[in-house]
Amino acid sequence: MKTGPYILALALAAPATSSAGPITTNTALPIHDGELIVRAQGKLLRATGDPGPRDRDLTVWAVPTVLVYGATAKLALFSVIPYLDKDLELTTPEGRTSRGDSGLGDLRLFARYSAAQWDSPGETLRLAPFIGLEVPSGRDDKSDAFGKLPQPLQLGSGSWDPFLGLVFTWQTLAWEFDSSISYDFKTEANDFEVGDLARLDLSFQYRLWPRDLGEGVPGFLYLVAESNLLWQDRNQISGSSDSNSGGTTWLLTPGLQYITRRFILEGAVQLPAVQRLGGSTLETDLIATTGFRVNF
Amino acid sequence: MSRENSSAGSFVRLKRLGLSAGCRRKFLAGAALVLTCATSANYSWFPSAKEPGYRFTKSWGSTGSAQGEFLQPIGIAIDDNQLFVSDAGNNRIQVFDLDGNFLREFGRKGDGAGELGRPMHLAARAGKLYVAEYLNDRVQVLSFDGQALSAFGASGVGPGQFDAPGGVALDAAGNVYVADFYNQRVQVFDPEGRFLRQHGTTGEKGIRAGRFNYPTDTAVLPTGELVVADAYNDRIQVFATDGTFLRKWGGPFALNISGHWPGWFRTATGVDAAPDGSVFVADFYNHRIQKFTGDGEFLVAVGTHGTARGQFERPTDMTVDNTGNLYVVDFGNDRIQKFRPQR
Repeated sequence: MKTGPYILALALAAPATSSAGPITTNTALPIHDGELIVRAQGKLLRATGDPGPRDRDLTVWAVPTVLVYGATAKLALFSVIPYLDKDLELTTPEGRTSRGDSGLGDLRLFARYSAAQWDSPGETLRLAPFIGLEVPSGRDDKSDAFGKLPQPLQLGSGSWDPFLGLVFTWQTLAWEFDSSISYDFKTEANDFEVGDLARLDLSFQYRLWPRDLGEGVPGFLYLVAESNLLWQDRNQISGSSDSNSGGTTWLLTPGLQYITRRFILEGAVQLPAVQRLGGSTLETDLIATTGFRVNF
Repeated sequence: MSRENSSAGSFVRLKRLGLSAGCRRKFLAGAALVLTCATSANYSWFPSAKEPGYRFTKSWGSTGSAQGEFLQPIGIAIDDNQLFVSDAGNNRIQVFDLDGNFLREFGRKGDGAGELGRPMHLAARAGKLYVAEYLNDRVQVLSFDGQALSAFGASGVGPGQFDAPGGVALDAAGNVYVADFYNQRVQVFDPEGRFLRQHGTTGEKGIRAGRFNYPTDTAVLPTGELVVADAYNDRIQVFATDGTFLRKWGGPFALNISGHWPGWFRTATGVDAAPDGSVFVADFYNHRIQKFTGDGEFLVAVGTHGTARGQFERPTDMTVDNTGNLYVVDFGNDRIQKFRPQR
């Protein structure tokens, strides 16, 4: 079965992992020493418009669950494990056929260290590098009647993939700005190597309600505007570059967040503004995200 | 109401829709033509059966990989009182006698000589079995005991190349007709596997005569005419020996209008030409086999949707023996069913 890779399906397993405002990216705001944060998101990715003859439609449901632990005032430890349901529908001589798998995906473990901060009344700036490893915990050898699933349809990559990045946050009482740049070094497994992934994420959150801060306010409503720029190198299959893979995607993301002292509810839709993808790679229609966070 | 009054009433109602007098006349003339076509004897859109039909005889097979079991069987061919079944999900060919007794199997997953990559429809003649391989983009010729004799084709869009070949048929001279599924064409080869010509436009779906929307299978009539299952156009197309388009059928005007009525299709995935010149079509999503004359006149339908005897779950192919018995590949039920004609 010849199927192209799906650049964002992999990115779905890497949600924002912060205790602050961004929905699709990270923040540099600290976790209190000993504090535990649980965050879960529900994501839906749809990718259609196959330029090739197979008329592929990809649907991915992802429920990444994040645990964040404040090891020290400056060091936070993260683990992210996604539940994935990948379904690729395509035209075959036996009608429209579905291929895919569901279950736990690869585990991402990383540490973030608050390297610098500048504080003033009602305002803070933070800079925090992070480094981590994606562990091949997801199944990567699923087969069906057509044979082994293409690697991008597998739940896991089978490879140990390090990644690192830097995140910057500027927070005031009325708004917050976050910026994250990261790079995933993909390694080979099963004679297949997913292309390296670089991303630049920006997030701006503005308090819509209440307009004025005072005592007794039960919660806050924020308008969120985000930008995700992703570049992925071509995949390598048996050492050869796959022209039907890789490329650049720019997503724009409007969203809303409702924040209380104990929890956060959020929703956003990532819409593609630019997609320059290799060969017959499927283009993303949208990624819808809902989520909640609870602080313990 | 008189016919004149009815026409006048329709004319007035069209006028209320804001159509000009010229448009109204054309609309009514078109409607009259459609009604005439729909009800005329030769081109009936809702034909009735003209044969007694078929009676269930037996079935064999179940889901699995053991001998006599299937995982997505797709194609079937008959020769020398043997039935060859492409067991696609198990990447093998299974051979049975005409009563369904297992005789032997050959092939295993791979792309080497004698290995198979999702075998599809088959053609068998004079000790040679032609296998269209979906995953290997080739047609492989095997002996009846599975020895690799030859192969032709490679991945691509050029002449002689394939993108998931689905069906294969032979004419009396030994020329080979291959439904090149994702390339939207049918390619013709000489007996040595050399490319001769093609029907359809490479990589372009089409609804006009001679164009295809995922051709899935081929057959050759005793007259030498080529019959193509134009699967996602929900129709059958027939071509002369020189490649000229001759006729098509399947729903109104055979223009990709699917339906469950006799003579209509919902994805025609397999086609077979019987020795008497009749044409059998696997009507996939209608869960039945339909039988036609070589001219496309509906004769009878076989089967309904289900898992009981004589019922189908998305049939993909069929073949007929010399006594008229019908063998159907019941794809979704992982079995073969045999029927005998009612007299």
